[in-house]
Amino acid sequence: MNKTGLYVYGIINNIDDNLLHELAGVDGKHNLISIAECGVYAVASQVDLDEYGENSIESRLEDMVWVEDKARRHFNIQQYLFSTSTFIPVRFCTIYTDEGHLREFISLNSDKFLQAFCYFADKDEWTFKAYCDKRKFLEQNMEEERQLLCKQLENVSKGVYYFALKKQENTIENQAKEKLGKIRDDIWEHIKANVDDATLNKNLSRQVTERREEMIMNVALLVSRNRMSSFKKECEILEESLGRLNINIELTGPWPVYNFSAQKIS
Amino acid sequence: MAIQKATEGSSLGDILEKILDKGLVIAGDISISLADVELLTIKIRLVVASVDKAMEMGINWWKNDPFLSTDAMKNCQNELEEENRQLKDKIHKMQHGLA
Repeated sequence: MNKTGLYVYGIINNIDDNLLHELAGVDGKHNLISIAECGVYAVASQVDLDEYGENSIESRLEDMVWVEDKARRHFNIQQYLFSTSTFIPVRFCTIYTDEGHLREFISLNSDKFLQAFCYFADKDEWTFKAYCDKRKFLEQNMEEERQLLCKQLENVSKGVYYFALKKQENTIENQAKEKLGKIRDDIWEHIKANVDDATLNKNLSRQVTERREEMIMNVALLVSRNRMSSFKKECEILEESLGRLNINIELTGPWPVYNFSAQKIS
Repeated sequence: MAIQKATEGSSLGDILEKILDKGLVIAGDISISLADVELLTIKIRLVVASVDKAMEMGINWWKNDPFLSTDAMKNCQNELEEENRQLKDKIHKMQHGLA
């Protein structure tokens, strides 16, 4: 008989085993189970160690079709658990070969989990992303500078004006970069003032986002549910002012607390 | 609100960004560390894997599209050159006929 391990999806404060047992785990074969310990529940499913064991998992991760399939299943299960109760998501491919080790871990950290459940009970994670069409942003800045230069050099020849503009181009490009940096700082200050917690993440490249514009901000937010509608209004105001600068924003959520759980538990 | 997106339509990039790099790290008996892997690399490799899988299934229309395939472009060019040569021959014969 193949040896099995326990693939863990997260820790939850309340569970309905009847519903859970009907859902397939990441391998599509074994259903979800809960492991109760000290008042908290780990949600897991059995997996064959031939596929998920230490010797085989590294090579599975080279297979992008496998990774996509398992990533989507892992994510969908976490989305479901998040919809039922306060849920702390665990990272992709966390597996225990021994149930006793998992129980020991939960037992050692049960107080922290219970405190985290209280903290997160009325809050959700959201993602705020800003994108800039840099070409249009730069052109807009160039045009503004051209008009300013035009006024300053009203009475000079076209030649003098042309050389003055050429000399300004490098300066304008650097000024545009500085301006974009300042806009980012302003957005960050504005967001932080309206949410419970925020963390700045790496921007994703255009090849990953598949967008023409470049991502200039990627922020994870923790927002109390009773602050959410006023925060959305603030985002709408931001959207209008940033739109005039060729910057688009996008708010996605609610998500499980991917970006905020580690700091609460560690 | 125009800027708000639901999580259901999340792209693979959005999902991988969350589950590979975030979430609680617990000391499982087996756990992976993909935090250092650039999402770009994963995405490109995924596209390659998807193309290979599509070809296995007999889907390969892009191979004959000259805008997507250099082989198709070469074939297209060869066909044009042959057509050109035939037309030149015809013109040459017609000119001799008139003369």
